Amino acid sequence: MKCSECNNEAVIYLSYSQKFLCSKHLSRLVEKRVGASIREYGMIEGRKRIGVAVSGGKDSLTMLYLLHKLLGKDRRLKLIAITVDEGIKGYRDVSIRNARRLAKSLGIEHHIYKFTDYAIPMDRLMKHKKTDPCSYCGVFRRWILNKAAGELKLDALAIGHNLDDIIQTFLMNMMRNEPLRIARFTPNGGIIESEAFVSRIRPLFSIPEREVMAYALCNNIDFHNGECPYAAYALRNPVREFLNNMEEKYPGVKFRVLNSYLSVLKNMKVPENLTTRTCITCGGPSSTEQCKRCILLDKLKKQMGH
Amino acid sequence: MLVYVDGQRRQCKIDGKIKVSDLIVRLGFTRETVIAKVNGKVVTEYDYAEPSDRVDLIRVSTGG
Ligand SMILES: [Zn+2]
Ligand SMILES: [Zn+2]
Repeated sequence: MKCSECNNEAVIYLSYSQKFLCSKHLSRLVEKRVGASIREYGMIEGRKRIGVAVSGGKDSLTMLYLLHKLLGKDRRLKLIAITVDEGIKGYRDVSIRNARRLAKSLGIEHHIYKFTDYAIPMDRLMKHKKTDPCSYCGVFRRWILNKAAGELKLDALAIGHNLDDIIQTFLMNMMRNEPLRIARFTPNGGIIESEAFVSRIRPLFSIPEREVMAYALCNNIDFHNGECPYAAYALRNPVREFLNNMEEKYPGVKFRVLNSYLSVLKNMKVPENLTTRTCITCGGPSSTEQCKRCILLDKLKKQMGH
Repeated sequence: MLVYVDGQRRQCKIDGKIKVSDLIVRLGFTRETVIAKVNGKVVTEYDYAEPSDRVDLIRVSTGG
């Protein structure tokens, strides 16, 4: 098929706009949209040191590549890549190599923070047959990213959530009746703002997952395309399937859900009791006396006989 | 036709030319969940694959 904009062969059909796009025009569209998101949501306004969380998968490496392409020439800004190594053999050790290679080729400083140093590596944890690995991993990963942000003096931390991630999370939070989580999961920042908690920015929030993948392939971004061996997407999988089926039947539905979510966000009131405190054990941000990571770590160490 | 999903060979009997969208369905996927390559080039689901082609389907929802 030919591109709707030029005479080149198309690499993707966008059913929501009924357009075929070649590699060049898809790249242009993605870059334009990401650039517009960054500006519209003031993602880098007044910020100098931007951390970029890279796992080595398609989303995070595409984000790193795009941020470098769109912002790399701005001498006032510094991009710093951060990878969290959860200690999953055959998965994370492989993807870290992809992250390292891309950061190096773009000349971006890259730091690796390990679960071994700040938590319990997932392989070891799973030997104790823990259920719900994603929630353990998430608590530790968030804590480590905050720690990294503090040490590296980051003004913001870019996370590679794409449009599909955002709307899946939005629907899941509605299904669980967790409106505060909706308020927290925003394109720029969130309602938890404190010195110890670095603002998250999500530059890919308006790019559908399939377009991120196509962009990565067309731009020869060498990403790792593996699945976490411990992934247990209890609610996410059916929600993802539902949204994909809806999009096939009603093209554009994903963008409409995204727009609903953005409107809901604008009209949400920030509850006052969400201001953060400091954890008595680690000094990190927390809504209670001790943070989730420290509570979890104490509990696990006891259970695992440390 | 050599068919691979995420780099793993898949047995799939196909006679003659096939539309990529039909191949996607034959392999149990949907348009939204995969990207197809024919002989290493990314193609749309409206393109065709010939019996002598290598087709790669890459699932989009793995890892971040
Ligand atoms: Zn074109
Ligand atoms: Zn703590």
